[in-house]
Formats: sequence, C-alpha cells, structure tokens
Amino acid sequence: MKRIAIQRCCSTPVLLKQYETSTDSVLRRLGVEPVDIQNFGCCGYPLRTFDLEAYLACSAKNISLAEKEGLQVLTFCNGCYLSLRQAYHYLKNDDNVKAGTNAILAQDGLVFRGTTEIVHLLHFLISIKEKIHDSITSHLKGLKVATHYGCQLMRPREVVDFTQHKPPLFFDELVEITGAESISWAAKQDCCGAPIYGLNPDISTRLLVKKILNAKEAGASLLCIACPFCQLQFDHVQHRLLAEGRLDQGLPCILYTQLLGLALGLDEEALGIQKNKIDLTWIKDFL
Amino acid sequence: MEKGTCNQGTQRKLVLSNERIAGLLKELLDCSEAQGISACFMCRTCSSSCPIATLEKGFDPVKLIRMCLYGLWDQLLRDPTLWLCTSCYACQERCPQGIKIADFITVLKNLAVKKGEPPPGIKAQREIITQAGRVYPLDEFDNKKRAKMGLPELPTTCTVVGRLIGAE
Repeated sequence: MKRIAIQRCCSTPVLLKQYETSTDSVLRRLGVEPVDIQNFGCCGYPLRTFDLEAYLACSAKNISLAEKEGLQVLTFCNGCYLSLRQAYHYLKNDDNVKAGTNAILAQDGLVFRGTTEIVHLLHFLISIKEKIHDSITSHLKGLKVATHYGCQLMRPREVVDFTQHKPPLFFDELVEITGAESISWAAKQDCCGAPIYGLNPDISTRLLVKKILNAKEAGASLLCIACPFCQLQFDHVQHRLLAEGRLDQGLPCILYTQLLGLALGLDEEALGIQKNKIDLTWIKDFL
Repeated sequence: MEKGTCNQGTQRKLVLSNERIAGLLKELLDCSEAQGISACFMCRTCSSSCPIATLEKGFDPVKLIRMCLYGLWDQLLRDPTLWLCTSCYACQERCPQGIKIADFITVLKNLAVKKGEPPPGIKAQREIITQAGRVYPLDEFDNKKRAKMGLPELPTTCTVVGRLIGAE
C-alpha cells in the first residue's frame, strides 16, 4: 500500500470535517494510506501577509518532517498547496533563504533538504486514473457539473505543477470518470472571492455570485470543488446569501471527494454529504 | 534614467526591520531583472486580468506598481485597497514583462503590517495565529470529536509560529 503524508487544512477540522473523512475514505479505497505525521502544523499560508520569514519556517517545518519519513506531501487545499510549493521553490532556489530557514528549523532538530514532492489531491488522483476507473461501482449519469479549479492550483506557473498538466483539463477528466458531464463555462478559472471574505464581504460575494450565475447560465446543475476555502465560499456563504434573499436561485456544490466517493460506493457517513449546507440529497437520483 | 539606478532613491527611503523582506523587495524592484517592477510599461494587462479591479475601481495593480516606483511609501503602505488582492495570480500569470505582481503585493502587505496600517481584521488574525498556531484554533474537545469520526488528533499549538511572531 502506498503511503503519503497528508497536510490537513486549518479550516477543515472546524468547518469541513466531511472533506477530511471523504478524502481519507477515497484514498484508502484506492489503496493509498494517508499518513498523519505528528507535529505537522499550519502550512504557513495565513502568515504570508504578515511575515514571509515565519511563513517559510512553518512550511519548511512540515516539508522537513515529511522528508524525514521519506514521504511525499499530499494537500487537499489550494492554499496549502501554493504555500508548501512556493516555500519549496524559494528554499530550493535561494541558498540564503534556505540557510536562514534551516537555522530556525535547527532549534527543533529539523532540516530542509528539498528531497520530497508536494502534490495536490487532484494531481495525485489523475496520476492513478486507471485505478479509479477500475474501482467505480456506479456512474452518475446525466449530471452536468461545472469544475472550479481554484486559483492557487493553477498559478503562478513557476511554482505549481503546471507543465505536467497543460492544458488544465485534469479536473474535468476526473469528474467525467464518475460518469458525470463536465460542462464548459467562461468564469471557470476566476477567483471565488474566498480570500477576502473576512476583509470585504461585499466584493467577495460579488465575485462568488458572478461565478454562480455564469455556471448556471452554462447549464450546470452542480459545482465541483477541491479546495476547502472555495467550498466554504460556494456552500456556506452561498447558503447565507440564499437565506437572506440576496440570491434568488442557487447552484449546489460538492467536494470532489464526495462526488468520487458516491461513484466508488463509499460509506455515506464518511462522505458526509448531509453535512453540506446546501441540500444535495437529490444527487442519489443520478446514481 | 540609467538602467539599474531608477529605484535606488525609493529603496533608500525605506528602512526595513526584516532583512529577508528587504531582500525579496530588492529582487522585485531590481531593474536589471526582467521580473523587476520597473520593467512595467503600463500596458494594464494586470488591471484587465484582475477580478477585483473589474468590481472595485479603487484597486488597480498597476497603480500599486506606479506608487512604488514613485517612492510614495506613506500612501502606498496605508492604502486600504492593498488588502483587496486575493493572491489569485491572474495578473502575474499574464504580465508580458514577467513581473511577479502578486508576489510584489504580498511583500507590500508584509511591509504594511510592519510600517503602515493593516486593517483590524488582519491584526485580529495575527493575534489568533500567534496564540493558537492556526487561524481556526483547536482544543482537546475538538480532538475528541475528531476521534469519534475516525479522524486523527491534531496539534493545538505550533512552536514555530509562537516563537517567530509571538515574541514581538
């Protein structure tokens, strides 16, 4: 069984436990063991705006812990993905930054070497697509899905794993493996507004509504997400907009691991679809 | 203006407490590199790529670049629109001059926290993460709930975060 170190996000333990349980469940079904390394902490993303040095140390700490175990790091959050990969990029390409960060890590007996790899859940899953294909038990026929990649999975190109997946169609392919149809829509690569929700909810929700309306117009009946912050925006924030009458008709969203889990016939409790704010119980009609 | 000298004035005006940030900023300002912000010829591809600029007239990546090049540090680091950048990297990805615009804005935010007036939300977030090591704090009760769901225990503190920014 392949073992991979898992970077759990800061938001999921509090707000999206279903993303963790569904990811663990999907990975195990596909013969992959998610390994939780003791002392794996924050990826450092929230520190980027305050203190780049502290951010690099946090990211490098997790990376070095994984290196010690000889494991790759898997993230299911676009923020963690960019954060870890950008830190890796800085440390690998700048000896001064590496030396400075390693001096901080040395206090915990750690060292960044740059011997591992940081992969996003979607990149990892597309690399084992044959295995997924063979494990599907029921197809979601007739479901029109709009894939939302999320900015930091795609950009900046020198940091993310872009060249390997050009043109970026891997998410669409992963959705279609489940039997659903991935539709094409204009606002696909736009920002969902999540990063500034706390600072400016007005602009943040305008970005969100723009995306929702565009996906609906393109004929989608569901949005598929693979980042906890995007999911919170599309599920929790959209739910609030609907409840407050600020949005007439919504568009439900699902985490990719929940969608794939349905097609793999996984335990409902692990998928946690009933935990999503916007009702998704109707999705079983497509199975 | 001679190549390689156009930013020296603005760099001298800025006294930085953090050498690492100074280094990153210097790299982003450096005229001799294609990625330096002085390579900007104001084509405004960044402005038209920016999802925020299309909704909020006050925010414009090219404006931030210009203000930096003119050495308007006081206004720049107190500019509330700085915080509207979502780090979506659309500007950086499309810049024909290869300027690392989103990374530049991240460095500006770092400087604003140190020298300017970060919004109250940012200050609050800084407080939380300093104390809890994460933006959504966890306690033993959360870990018990996680255990019931078959999820692993997570650390409730982070030594690195506390040590690096907690001491200030």
